[in-house]
Amino acid sequence: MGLSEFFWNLGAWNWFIVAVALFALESVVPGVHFVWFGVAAVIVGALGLTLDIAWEWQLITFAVISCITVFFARRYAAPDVARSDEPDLNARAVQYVGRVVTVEQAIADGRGKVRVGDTVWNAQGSDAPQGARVRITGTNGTCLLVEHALN
Amino acid sequence: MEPEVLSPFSGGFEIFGVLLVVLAIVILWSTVKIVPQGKNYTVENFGRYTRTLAPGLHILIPVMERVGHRMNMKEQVLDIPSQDVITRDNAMVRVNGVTFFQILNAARAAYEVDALEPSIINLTMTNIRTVMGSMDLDELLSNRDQINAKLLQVVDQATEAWGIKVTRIEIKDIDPPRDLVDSMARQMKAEREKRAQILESEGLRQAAILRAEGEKLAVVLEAEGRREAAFRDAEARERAAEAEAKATQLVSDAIAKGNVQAINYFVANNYVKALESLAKAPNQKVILMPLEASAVIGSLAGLAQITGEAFGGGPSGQPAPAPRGSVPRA
Repeated sequence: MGLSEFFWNLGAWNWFIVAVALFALESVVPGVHFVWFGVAAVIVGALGLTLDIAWEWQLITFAVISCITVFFARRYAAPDVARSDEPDLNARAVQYVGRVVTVEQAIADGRGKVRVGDTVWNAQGSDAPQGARVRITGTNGTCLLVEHALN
Repeated sequence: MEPEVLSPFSGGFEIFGVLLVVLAIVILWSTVKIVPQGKNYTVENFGRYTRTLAPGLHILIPVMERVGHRMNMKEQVLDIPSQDVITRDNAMVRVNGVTFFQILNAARAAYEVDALEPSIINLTMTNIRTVMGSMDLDELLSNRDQINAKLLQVVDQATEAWGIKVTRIEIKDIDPPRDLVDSMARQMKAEREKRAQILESEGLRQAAILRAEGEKLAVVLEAEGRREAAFRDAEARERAAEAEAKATQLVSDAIAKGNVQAINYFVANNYVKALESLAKAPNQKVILMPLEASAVIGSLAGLAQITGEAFGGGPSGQPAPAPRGSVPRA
């Protein structure tokens, strides 16, 4: 009982203590969402120091702010903000766009096969005889879109 | 800004506040999704697939949406377990391999096929049987590239609908049965022994040819030597004859210039010496032919003549030259 009394008397500082604990947890176990609660706890703690709010309201505020922080964080995680220097990672077909390859099986009726590296991919595009050079312009699932290479 | 309220209904309000925090935790837990690089999550809206989440931070609609499958978008390798395959020439071989594949379309890989990996493994195994069953054992062992290419073509075509790309299929081990391996080893050994023997006999043949050539050359050289020697001998005899002829010439010139009795002296001298050696011969078998004493005497007469000449006149075959000046003898 003495311990709970002790924490009760700390007042708004409890939020900061919780926040620090949460940030520490987040850095040890990433991706488990402690960080949102941590940010919310800091904000509620600051409010609690400046205004005298009933602790139930503090809890409600904490819950609401926790959810809101995610939406703010999302802006920083957006692809145009958090740029990757390898945007094509794990997208094998996309990595080949722009490459000039050889037709392995003549493209007829818009479908054929091209040799990329040491394997063969299905290709879609304008008809081309076997051995022709084509440029990969895009992807369609497991299919590569090709066009005649002019050079 | 939160209004200042001193809680009048503290009991229920407290519980509500705590529950709200719990709800916030649950909502955040189920709607905020951080997809790590190398993974794609599929989203289901009341059980129906709607979209795929790329790596990054995503927020789902609470209650309605949930994550369906977490697909691995990296290239993966599958071990194809060992299996017995019967070749076209009825040899039983154990074969295993590996398959590399990559998911290109997470949704298709998640929903078009149940149990993706076992499906790929089974498909590969059955196609290994098909491809290898149409080949002889020797072809099997030497045409792995061809087998891999055929397998890849078939399996890749079959798995296309699942949104995956099979990049490579490799046969790892081809183990023929023990006795077959032994006979293959024997065959190879015999082949090499045959080659060794052929090489050895080649060597012997070459050596014999070289030896014969050497002998031939030696004989030829020897004959040439003999011929040369004969030539030189003949030359030597010629020279000797020439010398003898010259000597004879000189002797006869000397005789012509001098007296024939000088020759007679030499001859008689030799004759007597010969007689002496015959007489001295220890061998009793030497037969003394009856000598004509007259011959000996004759030779002695020759001597007498010489002496006669030497001492001024006397009986001789040749008339003594007339003395110059008639000197009365005492």
